[in-house]
Amino acid sequence: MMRLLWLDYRAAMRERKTWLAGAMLVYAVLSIPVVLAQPPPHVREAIAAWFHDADPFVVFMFVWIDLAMNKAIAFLPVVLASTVLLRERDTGVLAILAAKPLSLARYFVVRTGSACAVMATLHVGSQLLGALWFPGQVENFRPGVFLAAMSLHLFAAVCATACAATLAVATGRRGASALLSLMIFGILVGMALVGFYQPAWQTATLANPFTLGALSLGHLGALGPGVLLPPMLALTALTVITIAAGARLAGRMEA
Amino acid sequence: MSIPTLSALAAAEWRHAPRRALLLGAVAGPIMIALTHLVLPLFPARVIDFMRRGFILDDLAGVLVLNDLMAVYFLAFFIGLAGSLGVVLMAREEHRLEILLAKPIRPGDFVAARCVPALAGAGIVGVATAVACGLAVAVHPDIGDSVSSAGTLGAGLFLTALALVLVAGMQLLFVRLRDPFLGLLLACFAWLATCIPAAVLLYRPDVFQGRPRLADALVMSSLLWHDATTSWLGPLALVLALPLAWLLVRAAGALLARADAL
Repeated sequence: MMRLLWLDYRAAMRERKTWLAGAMLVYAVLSIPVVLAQPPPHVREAIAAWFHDADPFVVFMFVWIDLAMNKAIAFLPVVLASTVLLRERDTGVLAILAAKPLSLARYFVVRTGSACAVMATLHVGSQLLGALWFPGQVENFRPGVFLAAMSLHLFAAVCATACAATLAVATGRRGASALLSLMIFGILVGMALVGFYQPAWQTATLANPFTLGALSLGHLGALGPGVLLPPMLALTALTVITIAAGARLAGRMEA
Repeated sequence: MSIPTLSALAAAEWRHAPRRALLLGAVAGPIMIALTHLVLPLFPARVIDFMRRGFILDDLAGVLVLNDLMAVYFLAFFIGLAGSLGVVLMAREEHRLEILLAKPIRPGDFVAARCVPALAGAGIVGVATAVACGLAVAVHPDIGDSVSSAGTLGAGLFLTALALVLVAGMQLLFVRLRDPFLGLLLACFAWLATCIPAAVLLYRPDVFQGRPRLADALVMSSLLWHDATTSWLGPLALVLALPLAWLLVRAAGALLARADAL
C-alpha cells in the first residue's frame, strides 16, 4: 500500500492542476504583502481589538489566513480530492482495480492519503516560501511564530482534503460532489473566524475544522504546544474518522 | 438520416439533466439569505462597522445586502459551473465524446444544447436567490434605508448575469482541456479574481482614491453605492447577458469543431 501511495503521490504531483495550484499559492505569497502595504487605520484598530494585540504582524497573520490560506483550503482540496474513486469508475478503470488483491476501501485510503499528501506539500511549500519572502516585506515578521501558526492550519487543510474525498464517494457524482464540497467549505470558511468577532460564540465555533486551523490567531504572543496540540489532535481525529467513513462507503461501491 | 434541430437537442438535454443541484441551490439560496439576516445583526457593532467602513456602505442594510449578494454570485456561478463540467470535459475524459460526436449532430449544436441546462440552472438559482435578497430587505425592519428592495434585486440580477457570462466564457477553455478538475481550478481562480477588487478596497483603499470609476467598474460593493441605477441596470444586464452567453457558447462549439482532439 505504501508503494502504491508513493506512486500515486508522485503521479498527482506531476499533474498540471497541481502545478497550477502551486502557482496560485506562489501568487498569494507575492501579492499579500502588496495588499497589506498600507492598511487603513480602521482595519488595524478592528484587528487589534479582536485579537487584543496591535502588532502589525497580527494584522498580517489575520489577512494571510483569512484572505489567502483559508480561501486556498476551501478550493484546492475540492480540486485535488473530489475525483477519488469516481474518476476510476467513470473511466472504466475501477472494474480492473476491483479484480486486484486490494479492496476498494483500501484503495480509497491510498488515493485519499495521496491527495492529502499533495495538499500538505502545497501548503508546506507556500509557508516555507512565505517564511523566506515575508521578512523583507512585512513589518515585525516573526518566521518561527508564522511557521508554528501555519503548522496548525496545515492540519485543517489535510482534514478538508479528506472531507472532499469522502463527500465524493458519498455523493457518487463528480460534478455534484465538487459543488457540495465547495458549498460546505464556503460556509465553513465564512464562519471560521466568527468566534474571534463574537467571543460569546467561540465555544460553538470550535466544531468547525477551519476554526480549529485558525485558532493560533488568538495566541500569537504565546504560541506553544499547549495552544497548538489540542486542535491538532482534534483535527487528526476528525481526518481519521472522515477517511474511515469514506473507506466504508467505498467498500460498498460497485465497480 | 436527418440532423436534429438545436431546439430539439436542447429540450432533450434539459429533460435528462439532473435536477439535484438546481433544487439544492434554489433551497440553499433563500436559507443562506435568511441566516445572514438573522445572524449578522447579532455581531458586535465593531464588526458591522468594520465592514461598513471597509466597503464604504452607509448602514447595516448595506452590510447585509453585500453578504447576501455573495450568496447569489457564489450559487449562480458554481451551480452553472458544476453542470458545465459535463458538457465536454467529463465526456472527453470518459472517452464518450468521440461516440457522442459520431452521431449526426453538429459539434457546435452539441455544445450549445448541453450548455442549456447548466446555464438555465445558474440563471434560475441566481434569480431565485436575488428575489429572496429583495424580499429580505423589504421585510427586515430597522436596518437602514441605504439600499432598497429594487436596488438589491437589481444587484442580484447583475451578479447572476456576470455568473452566466463567466460560466459561458469558461466553455471556450473547457473545449480545449482534458482534465475536468483542471477546468474547475481555472474556473475557481476566475471567480476569485472577480472578488479580489473588493478585498483590495478593504485593505488598500488608496488604490481607488481619486479613481471612482475604476472602483465602480471593479468592486462588487459599488452595486450598493448606486442603488437607483442598480435597480434598472441589473435586469438590463441579465437581458444582455443571455445573448452574450449564447454567443460565447456558440464560439466554444466552433472551437470544438475545429479542435484536433476530434
